[in-house]
Amino acid sequence: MYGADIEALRQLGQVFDEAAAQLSAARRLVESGVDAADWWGPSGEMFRGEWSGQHAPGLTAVETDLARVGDVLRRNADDQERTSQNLDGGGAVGGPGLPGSSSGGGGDYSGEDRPGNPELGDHGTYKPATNIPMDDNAIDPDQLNQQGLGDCWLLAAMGSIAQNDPEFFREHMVKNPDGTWTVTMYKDGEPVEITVEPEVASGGVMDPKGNPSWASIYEKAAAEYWGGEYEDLDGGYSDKAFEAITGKESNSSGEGSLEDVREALKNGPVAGGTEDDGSFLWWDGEMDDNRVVPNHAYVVDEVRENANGELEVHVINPWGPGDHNQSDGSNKVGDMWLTQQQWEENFDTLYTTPSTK
Amino acid sequence: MNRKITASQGAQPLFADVKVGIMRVGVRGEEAKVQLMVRSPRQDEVVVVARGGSLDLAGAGTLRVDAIEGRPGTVGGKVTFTFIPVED
Repeated sequence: MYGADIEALRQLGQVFDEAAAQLSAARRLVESGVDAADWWGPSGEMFRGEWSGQHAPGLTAVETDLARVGDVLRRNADDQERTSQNLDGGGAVGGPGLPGSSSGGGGDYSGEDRPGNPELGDHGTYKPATNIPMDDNAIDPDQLNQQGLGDCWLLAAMGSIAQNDPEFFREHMVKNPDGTWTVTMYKDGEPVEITVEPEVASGGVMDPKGNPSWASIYEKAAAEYWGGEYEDLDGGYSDKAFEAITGKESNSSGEGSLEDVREALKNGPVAGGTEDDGSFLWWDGEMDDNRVVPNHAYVVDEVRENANGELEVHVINPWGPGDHNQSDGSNKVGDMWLTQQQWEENFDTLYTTPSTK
Repeated sequence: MNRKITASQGAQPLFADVKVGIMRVGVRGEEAKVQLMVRSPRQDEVVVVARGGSLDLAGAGTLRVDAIEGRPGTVGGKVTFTFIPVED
């Protein structure tokens, strides 16, 4: 007999998380006691050195291991769940929301043009979108600025295609004489023309200055395509977005090595999905500084060799660039360079589609 | 005027000129917390806020976390915020 009790696996994962959190709390309690101890001289210095150099790192390592095991258990539970739902695409969710949830592009879709505007729901008001730049500088993944809608899976796919072939969007988005836009998407490989009015949700994707962009128009067309409400875009998979945008068969797989990613980029656009980090190491505000957003989709832009001959990958968050770059030149939220190890630790899915060039 | 919205983990709602990225949602027992990336022209900051808690949005106003909807074992979920802007 094969398989597992999914809920029991998740609960066991939680037990590991809680143990990690308790250990973390105990370590911090001891740490504050050591810091506050009124003990001076060589013996005190030696004791503090041993604590900070050996004991504290040892405890931190155990905390990390406990959290990792919790993560493994949860991933196993997710795999079991996907298998039982016949949804195993070889990877995890590339965006918020699980297929089969109340909404989301990971589920069914009609793939059709609809009269009128999509329902806005909680995503602001309609904002005029009249002067939309369509040059290469505008159609660039760095110009995506996701807002309150959970459609990173769609935006990451759009950004990846834009990076590979900006001309594709100029060919598939036509401004009509009456100011409306006709966007060509695909259902089962066949083109579907969707016409949208030149106004977009103020809570949807914008350019980094907060103005409507080509992506805002495309997002609106996608809201019609996926059901007629902006909320229908909340959660999904980038391979499904690739297929709806390009009409070409697309794939999802495990994250692979950076050599695999480099090969995939030679063949066409690539997006990446991050792991659903169920650990609670962040619970008390303790986080490392890599700032990768879990359960999220990114544009995979480039793989290069660094000065040490090691491969590193550049990924772009649809959240867009910010105002404060880090010392390595990356924004760490908008974009970042990751080593092979960082890639493997944070990403678990690669979405690929053939080039449209 | 106060503004109330609900957004999913992975989204990045905008309040005045401050982008608030929802990095993680967590529910443990009766407790619920959210990890946010607060991005403004003035600063970038990662903060953790509990249900019912609030934070100053880099001088633009106060953001209150009214509700957190999540489930154990995943960072996914939804958060309901109320933004109270600074009076001019």
